[in-house]
Amino acid sequence: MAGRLIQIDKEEVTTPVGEVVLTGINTDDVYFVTVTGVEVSTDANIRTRVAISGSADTTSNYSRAGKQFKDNTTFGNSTSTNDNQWNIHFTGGNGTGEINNFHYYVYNFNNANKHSSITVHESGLNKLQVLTGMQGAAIHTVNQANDGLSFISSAGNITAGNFVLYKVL
Amino acid sequence: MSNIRLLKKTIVSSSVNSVNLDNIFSEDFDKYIININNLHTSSATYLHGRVIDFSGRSANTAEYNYATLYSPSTSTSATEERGVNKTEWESLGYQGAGADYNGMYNITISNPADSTKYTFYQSHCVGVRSTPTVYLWKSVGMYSDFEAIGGLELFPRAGTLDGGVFHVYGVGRN
Repeated sequence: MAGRLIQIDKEEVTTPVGEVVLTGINTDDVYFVTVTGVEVSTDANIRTRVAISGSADTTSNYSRAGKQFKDNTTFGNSTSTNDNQWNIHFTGGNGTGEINNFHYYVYNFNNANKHSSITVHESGLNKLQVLTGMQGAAIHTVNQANDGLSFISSAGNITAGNFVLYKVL
Repeated sequence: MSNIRLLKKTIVSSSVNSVNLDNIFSEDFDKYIININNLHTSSATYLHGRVIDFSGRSANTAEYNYATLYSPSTSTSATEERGVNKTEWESLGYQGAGADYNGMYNITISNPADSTKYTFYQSHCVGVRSTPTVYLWKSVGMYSDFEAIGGLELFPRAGTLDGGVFHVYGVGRN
């Protein structure tokens, strides 16, 4: 962690919403996203997209690579290319204690000549009550400037959670 | 103004059985970062942890789950370890013994002071031991009790903690 974190945007979800968008990336600095205590209305996972002018980019240019840590069985590999969203979260549900916590380091979103990418660090409890955590990386394979990130649930709504975007200085 | 706040700094300069990072969690934050630099142990060993409640008690109930992946620089493969309903987190990281061998940690804690949520950690450790060999160590864990906790107790699987600098930061959301 560098010397300072400057908060750029935040959304605290206390009533059900279909989407959370964090915006304000407008420099070439590294950014940092923290998300804690995310709950969803049904057995579903958080999906992430880049945002352009505050709106999610739904084109099929999302790739990922990572490892799904689990406390009850062999870890899973998580790889995919050309999706229309990043499927990088594997915890959450609507049972007791089922929440998601994660953070990203965010790179090159403001640079129109490079792909946008993130590192993914997750820990939470999935819909089967298994401690799970994705540790990986993801990239948006288009040279375009993006100003934020969009979060949805793969089904139903996001019902709780603190979403915060920081600039790292 | 920065949104990351230093909450505690602890320096270990002589042999101790454990380090208590107590009174660090509160409702002011929901995300914390613990950086440990130059952790020295009396033997090549794992770093373990337990939560400390607001009365100062180190909880040893069987409510700790974890999943770890590590890979040494001398190997082409990675090893998985996991545990459920343990009485402590058994695999936050690892380091060798001796002046030249140490562990560097970045640990993130989520929701510790929230009595409506379980507490989760993610640990990223660079461990150095004889040869020298560097270990990548990644771990996630959960304390499955709806109990607000105030801190962490960190201790080696074997032997003593002989040195290290511990910084605890709160990541502000407001």
